[in-house]
Amino acid sequence: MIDEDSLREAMRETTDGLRPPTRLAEEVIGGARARRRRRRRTGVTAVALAAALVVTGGALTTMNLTTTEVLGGEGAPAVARSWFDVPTRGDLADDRDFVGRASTTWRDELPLFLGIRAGLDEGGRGDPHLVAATTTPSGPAAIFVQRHAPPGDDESYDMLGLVAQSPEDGELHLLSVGRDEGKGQLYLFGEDDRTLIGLPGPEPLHLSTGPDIDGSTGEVTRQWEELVAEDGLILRQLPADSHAHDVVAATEVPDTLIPEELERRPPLAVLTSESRAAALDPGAAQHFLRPRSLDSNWNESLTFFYLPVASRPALTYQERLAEEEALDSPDNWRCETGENGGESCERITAAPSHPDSERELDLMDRTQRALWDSGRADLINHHSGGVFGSFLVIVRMTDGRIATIGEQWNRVQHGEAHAVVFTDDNLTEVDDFAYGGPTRPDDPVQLSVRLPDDEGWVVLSYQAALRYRTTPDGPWQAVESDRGAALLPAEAVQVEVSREGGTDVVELVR
Amino acid sequence: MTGKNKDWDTEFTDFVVHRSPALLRTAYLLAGGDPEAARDLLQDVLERMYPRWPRITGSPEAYARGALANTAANRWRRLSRRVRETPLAPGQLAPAVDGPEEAVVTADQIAPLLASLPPRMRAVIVLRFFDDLSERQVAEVLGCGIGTVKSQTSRGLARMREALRPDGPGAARLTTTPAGGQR
Repeated sequence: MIDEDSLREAMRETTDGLRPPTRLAEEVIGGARARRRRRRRTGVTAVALAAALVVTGGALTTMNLTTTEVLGGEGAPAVARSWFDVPTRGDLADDRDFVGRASTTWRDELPLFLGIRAGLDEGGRGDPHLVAATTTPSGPAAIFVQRHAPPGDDESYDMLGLVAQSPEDGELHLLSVGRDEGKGQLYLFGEDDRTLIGLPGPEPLHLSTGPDIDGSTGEVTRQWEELVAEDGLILRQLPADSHAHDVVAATEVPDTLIPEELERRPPLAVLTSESRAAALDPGAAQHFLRPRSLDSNWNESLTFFYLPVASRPALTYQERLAEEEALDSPDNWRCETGENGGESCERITAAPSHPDSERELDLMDRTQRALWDSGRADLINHHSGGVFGSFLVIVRMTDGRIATIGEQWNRVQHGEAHAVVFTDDNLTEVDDFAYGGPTRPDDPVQLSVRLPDDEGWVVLSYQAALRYRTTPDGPWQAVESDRGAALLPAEAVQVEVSREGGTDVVELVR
Repeated sequence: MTGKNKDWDTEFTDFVVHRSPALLRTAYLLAGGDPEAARDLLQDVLERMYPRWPRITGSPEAYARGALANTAANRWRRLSRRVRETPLAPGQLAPAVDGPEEAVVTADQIAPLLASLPPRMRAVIVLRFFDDLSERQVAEVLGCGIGTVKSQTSRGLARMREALRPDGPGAARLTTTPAGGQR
């Protein structure tokens, strides 16, 4: 490993002589003002071109797409179309009662989404425009657009938002607001967020309601349908088994979606009722994003289980971290006060090297990569962040191969248990996979995977004591376990899980 | 110019004058040792900070460091079109098993060493060991998990170590132009 003290010192030494240009502040302020001027020019031109939009049967020509091409320049907003100059679409466009109530709701509740409290500077806002008002399976709904200039900012943008009935009280509310990025806008609302409404973008939109997972291999696919607008509006009722978090929209033809393309052209955000919940309670928003994983309540941030236990390295990654933290004790540092009064410190106790524990992180990365490369990870989901649990069971199989078992999140409801078998200790090649089905945080056995070639069952019930038997009425056999993880023989048919509060017997289903 | 704007300009100018030397050092490391790229990066970030100045809460310097790291990482993302979160090319899958001794880095090696790392990994290393942020702070700045910071740190150190070996596969990188110079 690299000596960290020398790394710090090298970075300081090599940057010591650097000096910024003497007129940096003036150049920065001048550059910032030039950016502002560019934005304003773009805005004026966009408005002028928007007036030339042609409305034909509810479909818009997108002649102002050339705006950004003409102006170009960094920071120029992508202007695809203006919603302000098109007539209101939908069967409720002339329903004065609904339009009036929806407009009042939009005006009253918009500050909530902008984080504005009474008495504070709200910035500037244009007039709202009703883009759509229509009947849906979840009641009447309206989409508004309004330009917003945040206080103290020189950049204004258009907000598109949905006013519809909230299932919670049956009243009209502003449910979602998003910045108009010129790509179209989709909202999910109604009971369990299953009604999809939206405005089309300049490119065709495709929708997938969730990943399909092969029950025997765990391979992930998605079915896609093109969202065709009728009378300028997209309206769908999603299946009863769909979940809002699994719904994805994309402009790219889905068959060509590859990781690099996803990075360049990320999926379109589908706004859900959580937008309103997050606006009401920003602190709660962080809990929306992640599915419940097995390790949600574990003590350790990264957990590695070893089977057999004898194959554990001298120090696990977790233990090494604890050791390094202990090295931060003041006893291990020498500090001196310099001439200018500043204090410089150096650690006088070197951190020992533990290459074995570095290997654990490698194993985790390789497992994740193998699942990804073999089609066992939802790439769309992968785009949005971490999708692999922060634990790994590492098994030395009887034939010498290494198997790693972890939890992959492809759907919001639960994770999936997967095993990856590597050919040798160098982990150069993936040899095989095994799929253990959904993980079960609330069950006595939270994860079980049957390894290939009758190498046995890997079961996990965090911090529980485990026994097994090979016939339904046979004697219970003790098994070596690591914090609730165990490798059972292939013949095992039941596992007994004991923890404080009781004992359960669980069938191992082949 | 209004009085408010005058204060705004004065405060911001004061910040740039006093803190840009330190920020330039971070930018230089994030740019893999390319001084021109570092100045561009810093100016880009400061220009974006200027209109937001009145609304920046907390330490403006911390805000600037975060923006530098993210802009550097995103620049990489834009340029190389690689996916985020520890993507490993097959050639990079050699086990990171080191000998017991620790490799010492010198000042003349550090820039090409950093340049040999993917920018996101480089950002983690710079924030951890130059700006002395904790793993949690780095995770917050880069918008990723602590596990990712741990693995990127570990992998970054291992890759630098590998590059330092005279006969190692990364040894040649120590003589290449800085990352910014390859743009």
